Amino acid sequence: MSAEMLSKLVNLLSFAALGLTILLIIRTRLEGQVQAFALQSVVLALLAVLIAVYSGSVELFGVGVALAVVKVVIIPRVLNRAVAKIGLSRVAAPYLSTAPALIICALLTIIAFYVMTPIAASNPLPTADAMPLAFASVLIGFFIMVNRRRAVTQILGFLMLENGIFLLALLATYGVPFIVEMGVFLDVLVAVLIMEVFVYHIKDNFDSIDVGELGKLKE
Amino acid sequence: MIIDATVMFDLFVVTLACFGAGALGALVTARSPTLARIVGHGAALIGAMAALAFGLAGLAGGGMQLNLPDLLPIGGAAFGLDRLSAFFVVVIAAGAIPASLYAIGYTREYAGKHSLAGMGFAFNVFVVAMILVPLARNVLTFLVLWELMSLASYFLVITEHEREETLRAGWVYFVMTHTGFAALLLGFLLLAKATGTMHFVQWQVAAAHLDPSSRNLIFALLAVGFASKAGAIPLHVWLPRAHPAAPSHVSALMSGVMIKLGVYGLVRVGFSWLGVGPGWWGGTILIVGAVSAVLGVLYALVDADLKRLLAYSSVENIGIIMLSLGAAVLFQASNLPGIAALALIAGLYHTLNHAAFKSLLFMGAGAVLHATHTRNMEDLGGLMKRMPQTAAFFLIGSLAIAALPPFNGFISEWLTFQSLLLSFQISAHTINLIFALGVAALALTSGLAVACFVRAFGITFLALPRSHQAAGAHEVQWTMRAAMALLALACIVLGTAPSLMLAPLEATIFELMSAHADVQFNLTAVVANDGFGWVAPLWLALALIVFLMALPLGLRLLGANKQRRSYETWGCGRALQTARFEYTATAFANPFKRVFALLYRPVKELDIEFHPESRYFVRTIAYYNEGRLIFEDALYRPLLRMIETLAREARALQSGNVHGYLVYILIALVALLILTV
Amino acid sequence: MSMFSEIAIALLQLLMVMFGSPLLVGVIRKAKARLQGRRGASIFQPYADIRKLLLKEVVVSENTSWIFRFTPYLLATTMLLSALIVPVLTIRTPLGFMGNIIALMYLFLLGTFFLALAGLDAGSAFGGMGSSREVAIAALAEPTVLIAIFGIALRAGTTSLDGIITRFAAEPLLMLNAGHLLAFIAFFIVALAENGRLPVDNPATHLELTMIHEAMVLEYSGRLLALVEWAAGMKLFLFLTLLSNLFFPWGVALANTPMTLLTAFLALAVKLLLFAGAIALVETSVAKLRLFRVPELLAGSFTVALLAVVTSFFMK
Repeated sequence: MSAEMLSKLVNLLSFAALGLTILLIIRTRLEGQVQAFALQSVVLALLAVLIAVYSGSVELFGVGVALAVVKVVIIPRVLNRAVAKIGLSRVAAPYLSTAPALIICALLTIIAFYVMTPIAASNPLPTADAMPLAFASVLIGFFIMVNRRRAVTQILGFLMLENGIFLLALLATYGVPFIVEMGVFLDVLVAVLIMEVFVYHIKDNFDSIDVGELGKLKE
Repeated sequence: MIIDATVMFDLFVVTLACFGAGALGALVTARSPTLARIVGHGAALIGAMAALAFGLAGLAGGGMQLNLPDLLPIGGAAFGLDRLSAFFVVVIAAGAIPASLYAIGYTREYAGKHSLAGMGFAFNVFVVAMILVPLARNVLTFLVLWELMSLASYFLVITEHEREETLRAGWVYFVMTHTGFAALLLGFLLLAKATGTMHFVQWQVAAAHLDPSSRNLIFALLAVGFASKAGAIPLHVWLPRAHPAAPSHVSALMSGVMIKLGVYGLVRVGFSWLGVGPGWWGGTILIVGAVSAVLGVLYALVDADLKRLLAYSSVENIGIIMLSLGAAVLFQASNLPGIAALALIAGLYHTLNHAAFKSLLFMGAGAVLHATHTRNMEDLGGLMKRMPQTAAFFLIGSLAIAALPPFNGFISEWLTFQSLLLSFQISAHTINLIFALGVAALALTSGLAVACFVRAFGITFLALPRSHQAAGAHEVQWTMRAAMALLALACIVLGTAPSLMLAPLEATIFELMSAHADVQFNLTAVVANDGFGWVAPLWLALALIVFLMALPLGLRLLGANKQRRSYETWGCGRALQTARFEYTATAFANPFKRVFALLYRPVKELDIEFHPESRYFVRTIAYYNEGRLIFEDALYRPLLRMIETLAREARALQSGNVHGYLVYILIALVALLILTV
Repeated sequence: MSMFSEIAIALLQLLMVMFGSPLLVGVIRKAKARLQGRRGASIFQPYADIRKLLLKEVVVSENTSWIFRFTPYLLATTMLLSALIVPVLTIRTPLGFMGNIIALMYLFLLGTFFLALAGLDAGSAFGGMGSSREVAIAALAEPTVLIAIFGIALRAGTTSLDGIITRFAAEPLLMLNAGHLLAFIAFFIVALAENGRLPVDNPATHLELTMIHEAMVLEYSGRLLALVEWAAGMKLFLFLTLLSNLFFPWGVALANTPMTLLTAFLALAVKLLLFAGAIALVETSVAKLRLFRVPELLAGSFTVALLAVVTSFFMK
């Protein structure tokens, strides 16, 4: 595989990843959002494997497989269970409605291009071209967290953000060492589990998982 | 072709003489309203024709120089003519000819109620001042004429002064126009001081040596002054008030022509008086233009007052023109003079086109007002059958303003798009993004303009009349129809044979910035940038006609059924369709109100009065869905409040004590001395 | 090229659009029926529909003016005119000099303008509702159209249809170019919206409060309705042809010989078949959006188009 071919394919897959982040904003049903996350993880796993094949790194291949297991299978399952238990499948409850949120996504992407293009230009790897896209994914994940009222959807924002960071590392340096990556996966998994427990508790105590309600705690 | 200077001078004198005769004649014949009406506007008509000849001769290369040192202090009155001035004279004359013709019939209604002599006088002064503004060649001449134009139009706006609303509109206009005047005055004086001359012609060379900060300051002041006359957002507040309040032939002139002098000023500032400006000037003009275009059409889209709708649409079109001006400055700053010239051609062509179709539309609205005595679209409808010719003219105007082929608005918007899309030749990301924004804004504007004029024409002229005034409407008098016919013809000619005007425009731009525009054209086709894009409007028009004639023929050959039967509109089985079943102007605009709720911030109110016996029966339902004007609420109200507070504070200074005033004078004197030394 | 072959090619394109469009509509309906487990009508049913309508008498509301009767002719005219401009089979279209892609979009808009007026003309609430919604969607789709065109133009260096196809046909790895695909996605969504397909409008519904295009043409009957339906079919045909030939330029004749034209014909047939299948799939799998979620869809397509442009700026 030539470097140019790799670069094009990586660009395309990174776009797909970014598109799936944006899809999170369009989809109103939580199941759909979890699906978007799972799909994005598939794309990332593919990317990892692709780059592993190109660079001949066995470690990276392992990371790809582990990512597929944790983020495509386990986390979506946990999340779906949570959604089923709380029975809140239809409510994303954002502060900004979809159309303006989409425009903000476009602006964030443009900002990401501005910030990242010079950095990417100094990076010799053929994958570096797509770095702005990964960074945009990070920013948009952050924006989703800010824009959502409900705890479960905030978790999704967080996961997207984490995926974006993974992608950025992958593109910039062909991924961080295997052991670190594994640690991060484990952290994310534990974080999701803890948040799930929290969501249940918030739900039990406040009869709602609107994070705005937490403001009442200070009184 | 060089045209003899004496011919030019003669035309100029004839023009002035006609308007002078018109102004005086109207006053002399004040006894007889009919005579005053015909003499005042008839003379203006002849004067405008002479002015058109003068302008066209100027475009063909005729020049003129005229200095009258004794007429004014500080340098005297100085006039000159170059192609750019000539182009604007043509625009003004092209608007004034039909407006004068129209006025002869339109003002008949004012007889007995308002002074026709006064109207005739002010009209002549207004038009001649407008024609002279682009000819002015030094500061004082320019400012005097500018003020004359503003004052004359102010008096015309408050013609119907018995109405509270008109007086308020006049007041807002008066204040805004003088704020703009103050900005212009300051800018001119600073520039004159910095360059050491009051003569416009000497500025371009001298301005190159100015230091950037004072050049930027002067640009800002002049741009604000001219943009407020042009009606760019957020300096537009006077426009949707004053233009509807004026008599329709004056509205046509103000919207079609007068605001274009703001454009004239901007072109002069951006391309000649201050030399080649930095890119951010262009970026600012472009963004202000984009905002004006989108917001202008959005406000037009929801307004139910036909004339105010047209006024807002003028804001939109000024926005489109400024978009291309800004693009031109940006291209110039990016060293792409050919494309800059293309963008400028697009802007100037749109200036002329807008003069044609906006005047036409205002006259159409005036005809509707004349026939039905209402501007409220909710009371109109069904005029297509009652005023078929006016309706056809209004339809042509609507098609042209919606930039649809093969009418003139399409050509200028197409040229604008070509120049904006060519921006990819610049390799600076920020500028690229600004242009992308401009493309999106222009596209949204043109889409919304289609919606806006489907609504304006459809609700006003189609289906059933919504009130008895509309039901009793009749076609208007012939001079009014003739005026509209002239403009409709102009819309078609400028749309199908753009080369007629593009050739002189190309020469104008070449004279202005010594660069050939990146556009080739002949009688049938226009090609931008060596095949980057092309269009052949004459062929499009011909093909449209051919197919339109061939289709019915084809159907007949196929053996289609030729029978036609008239019947009631389908009403879900309910018999007797009335006008109350029709979609209203408010309902038509509702999807936009919802989509752009962020801008309109609509206030909904529903008053239902139930029948006393049972809540299942309703006695009356009143539904209000008013939008708010965010610029008025967020910008001008606080500003006015601040000024009011300041004024109250300042009252403390008014001690009434003579010694106190003397102290002020002394302080002012000392301050002046310190500043000047 | 001789005069004769020029005329022949122009006629060929015209005939393809004129007679191909009902077939395309029929194929989409058939594919949809099959996907939904129905047998569906024959793919030639639209021809029969048009014939039937042509033989019926026209009933016109007495409230209407000449606009109502004129519109169907104008609508069909704009589509026929576009058929001469769009490179259906070949980039050497004899009358292609009449306009570039922007002029083409404005030609479509001309039809929309008159159709919306005709909707208002009968004075029925349905017609007004349909026009209001139609122009709203057309207006909101416009920025996406132009930004997508910008995205294409800045990569192809031209806005002329033949230039774009020549340029893209020569580009290696075209299908891996992210900017290209993004522009395609944006244009595809707009094509669905402009042609009144799901999820924006349901071409098969006659439920009063949800229809858009059908509400607007509710008053039409007889040969006028035949023209309106035929024009709608041609519009779909032209949009899909544009999508196929601009974004997947394989097979389009770059020079006019009988052989290349035949190849182009077959390639177009395959591409259109695929698009018909894609539309049938979309229409079977998604529900119609509520009217006030349509702007969200269009905002989404606008975002995608803007991304296409930004990508092409930053990632050469």
